[in-house]
Amino acid sequence: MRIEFKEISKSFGGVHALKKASLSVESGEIRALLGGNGSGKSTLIKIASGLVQKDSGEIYINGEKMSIRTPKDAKRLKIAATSQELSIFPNLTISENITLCAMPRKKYGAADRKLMRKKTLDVLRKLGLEEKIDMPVKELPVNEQYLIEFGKAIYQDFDILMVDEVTSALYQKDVETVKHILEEYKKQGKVILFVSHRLKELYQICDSVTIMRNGEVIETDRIADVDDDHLLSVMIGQSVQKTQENSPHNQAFSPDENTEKPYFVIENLHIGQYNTDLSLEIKKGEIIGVAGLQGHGQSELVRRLHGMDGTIKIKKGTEEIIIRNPRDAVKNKFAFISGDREWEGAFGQHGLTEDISVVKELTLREKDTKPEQVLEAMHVKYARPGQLITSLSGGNQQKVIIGRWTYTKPVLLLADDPSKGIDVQARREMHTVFHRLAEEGTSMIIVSSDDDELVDLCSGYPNARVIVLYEGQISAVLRGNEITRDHIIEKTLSKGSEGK
Amino acid sequence: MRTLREPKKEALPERKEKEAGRKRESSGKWKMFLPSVIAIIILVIAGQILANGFLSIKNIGSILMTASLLALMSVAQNTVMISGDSGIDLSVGAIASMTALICPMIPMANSGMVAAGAVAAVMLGAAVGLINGVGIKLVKIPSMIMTLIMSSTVSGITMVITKGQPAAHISEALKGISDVIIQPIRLLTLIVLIILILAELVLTRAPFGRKLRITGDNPNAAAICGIQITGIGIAAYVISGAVAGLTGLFLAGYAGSTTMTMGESYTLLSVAAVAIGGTNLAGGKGSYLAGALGALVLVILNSILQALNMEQGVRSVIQGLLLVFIVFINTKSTMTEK
Amino acid sequence: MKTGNKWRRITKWTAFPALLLLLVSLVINSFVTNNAWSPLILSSFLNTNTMIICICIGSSAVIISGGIDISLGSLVSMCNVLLVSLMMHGMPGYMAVLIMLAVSAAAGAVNGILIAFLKVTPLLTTFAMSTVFAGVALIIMNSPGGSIAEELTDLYYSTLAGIPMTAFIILILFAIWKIFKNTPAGIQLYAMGENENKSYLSGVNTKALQVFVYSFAGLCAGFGALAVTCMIGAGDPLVGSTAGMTAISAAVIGGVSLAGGRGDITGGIFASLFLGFLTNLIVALRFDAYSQQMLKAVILLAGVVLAVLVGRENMKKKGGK
Repeated sequence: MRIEFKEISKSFGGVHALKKASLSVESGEIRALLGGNGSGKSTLIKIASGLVQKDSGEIYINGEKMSIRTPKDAKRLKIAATSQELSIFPNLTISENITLCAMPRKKYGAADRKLMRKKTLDVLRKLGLEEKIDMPVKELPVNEQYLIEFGKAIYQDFDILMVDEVTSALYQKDVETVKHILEEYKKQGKVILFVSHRLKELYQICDSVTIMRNGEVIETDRIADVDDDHLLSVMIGQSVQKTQENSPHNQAFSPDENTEKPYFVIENLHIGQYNTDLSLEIKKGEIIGVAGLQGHGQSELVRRLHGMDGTIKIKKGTEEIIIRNPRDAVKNKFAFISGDREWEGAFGQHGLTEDISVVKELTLREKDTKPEQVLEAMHVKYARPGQLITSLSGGNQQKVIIGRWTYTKPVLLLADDPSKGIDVQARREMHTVFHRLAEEGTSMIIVSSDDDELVDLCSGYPNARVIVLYEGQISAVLRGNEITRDHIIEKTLSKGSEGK
Repeated sequence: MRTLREPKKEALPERKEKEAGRKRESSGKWKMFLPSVIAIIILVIAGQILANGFLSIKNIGSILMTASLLALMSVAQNTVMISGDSGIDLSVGAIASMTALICPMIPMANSGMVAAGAVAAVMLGAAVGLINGVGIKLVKIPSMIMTLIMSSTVSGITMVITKGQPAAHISEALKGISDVIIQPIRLLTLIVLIILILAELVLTRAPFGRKLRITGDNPNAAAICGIQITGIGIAAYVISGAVAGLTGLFLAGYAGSTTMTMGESYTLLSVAAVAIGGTNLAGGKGSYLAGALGALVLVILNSILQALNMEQGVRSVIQGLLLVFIVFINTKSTMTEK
Repeated sequence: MKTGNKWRRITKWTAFPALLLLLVSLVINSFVTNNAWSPLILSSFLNTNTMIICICIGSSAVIISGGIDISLGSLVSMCNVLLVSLMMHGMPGYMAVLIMLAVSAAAGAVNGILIAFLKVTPLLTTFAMSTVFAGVALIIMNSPGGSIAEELTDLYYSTLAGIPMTAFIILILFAIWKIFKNTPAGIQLYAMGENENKSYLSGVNTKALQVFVYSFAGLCAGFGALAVTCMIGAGDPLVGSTAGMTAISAAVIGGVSLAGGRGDITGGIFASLFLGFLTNLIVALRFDAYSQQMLKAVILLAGVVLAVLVGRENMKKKGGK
């Protein structure tokens, strides 16, 4: 059994997700697919699952060219994949969820519940969850939900299995379980692709690794031949030591405490998902980068601060302020930038000037209208001030949205992955804006899933630090020249792979 | 270096004559008028060919009056649709029937009292709109069901109050809205034109109008920006009810007599008019003037069908199929823009 | 406690509120109308309400699948006048009924095709088609009239083994739905109602399911038309005009979530019966004809508001979204 991707290319809008990526995997090995954000690994998986159409290139299975245009095609070709986001249905039972795409039937068409239950138990047994078969899906803890997601894939009759980031929410013992299951399948001659960014797991589970970067396949190695430094270097594109040297702001300065008093004092901010409380102090003009695996409370932190999830009380300067909703937040000169432009950012049917002036004119009722100055200041490439924001590239769109907020001269800027899906150039320009704001006195909390970004923003700045969140708590604080990609990855990964 | 030019003051396109089209500060506003204008041209030509005397002053006058009423109704529907969240108001017809039947019970001997009657109509409609808004935005009942049930409730209330007897007497002052200003334009058309211009100005320039559009465009983003989207959403339904109420009063004045369900057909037609006018049915983009043009298209079409002696049933079928087609085109065009 | 668990499961049943309402209204009704519960009265009650129950079954199915259909009332009108006209033109009863049912299913299929393939929102599509069906009804018969074979009416009011024929009509639809619900396609329908996109990603044939469920709803309207035709013995192009909204409200009161994916038609049946008893009550309390419509609408509104609020509480308790 062998699957081969030949020169697959795919672009979304202006962004090249895959550039002539080629790789092949045979049975008898568990191949890791490794890469940072934007490396294209997920896109490749989605193309093979029929969820996304490639722009060019071919896919061969056992030497035969195959066309995969829909999930049905993939199923027919015996390709099974887990999805990066959970797609389990809370209104169905575990049995129904796992067997959904290939339900056993009785003679006259009715679903064979007995057989379903038996097959589900088989799957659950492998996962170590058989006592939970009658539990409602909603009541399962997150790691078990992801195991069920994995269960959905292994339930199917497949020749090729692609596991996409399912392990990011799993505890060590679950990872062991997954490992055993995959090794069974390896013995049976199945082809297995394992996508993860957690290096420790790769050593544990996989036999070989293909590294991708910027949409291209860089190299494939045997796991035995590589180590962290090598992998990180290839993923980043520079030798790891070099990264530290080339950091533009890396002076040999010691992370001394800035002796100014904190401006914002946040005490016991409740993170509902993990039932923990966070406390944080921020000085004026301080930049706080927030790192951590997705879903460990970072998003909730900034959202609660902006009043999007219940009432909070924090200290601003000498007063205590209450924030009940985003309007209170905005009136207190907070700003919130979301990485999700489509749902939370762009006003797609309105012109640029409207987009920019929303907060300043409509909420804050300040009327010194010079929106096009903002456009110029943010270096947005545009043709007419009235053109639709959706006619701009992703990076420019985000710049407009940031401009909307910088226009109001916020005192606290909150951001939830603001540079998601944006090219490097636009990202750098964004960071310049942030730095300028910080120098002018704006404090900021910036959540990012891109460790490079956090390094760019925070390392070498006396007034910046990176906090790492794990399960709703601050597990590490990095300052000054402690802020390097390796350190950040290490702090998030090492905690994540350790057991509970 | 670009300087921001103030957008040109909007001129009301001539409703009778072919529209040359004015350049507008983008967002493709101007494009919204185009389908209606083309349709009007085609229909007027078709009408003249198919039916004798189609372009007579009398017929044009009658078309303008009905179109004015529908245009006003479409202002109501447009407001709700622009406010987003798949907003729709299926109770506008019932509200209009209600005010058409109830308000003439208030003595309206002169234009001063007609104005008072108008205020009563607006308040009545606004009250219904408020109930709609609360149910939809606070209780979170889907707009279609809420307004559908309210439609029935309002009809029921109307029946109770009037005891099944349509209003006995429409005052001469109220009927005065049919007075001719300059042939074929009558007072009603003038009033509606003024309302349309004001509404469009509010929509494009005033804070409330901007908030309305922004909320409809991206409710989450609007909330993050500090806009009170719930309040705006409720306000949209209040306005819709109020305007529908006013339409009902004018309807009574125009018809000169009342029947129990005289406003009913306006519900579907208002949705169609708004869709022809290019409003994004999911919210955010829209123009009252374009909606009014859409209303004109529908009224001309209906007039042609009537001139061809098509019975009510056939006309309903054609209107329904047309609406499916219009909504399909509208959905496609607003999707590809994203 | 085992009994404690059983009790909890019953109260968590989505149809439970509607069942409760039904029982309460039944009791109140028997006090107010002072009627002995003779089989005749019960079966007469059923006969009057069969049309609404049929449409409610169809509406529930569509809402569960994640859509909505407000054209069913007009479809009933259309099928009613169609059936009467066919019979008046000399067609034998059973054949006319079969043709009418086929037409009703086909009309539903048109809705389904428009929604699944043209991707127009179900709300606006069925809203527009509602006008089309109403228009066709007017074309076929522009004022109430006509008559049907007496045998048919007799059949409708008769009983088979003590069970009224109308109950069989409801049972047929009920059976079709229950059988379907237990097939893989039925389970996938619920998944689709929960989240159409995710279900497509999981390999569900959403288009086929949509065409099916709207066709089923159309068929339900056809049976409803059969019931109402037998009941009034004639054709009326406006017979179903308010029924669509009542049926959807009954579905919501019966525990079907408007977001899709939750609930069952049983609740809708209970709610329809409850509304029927309420109507009885209103008439028995001698409210005048004018107040009746308003009262019914207010009750529907109250019922829907309660059902939506209860639904939201349940979602929060179950862990929310």
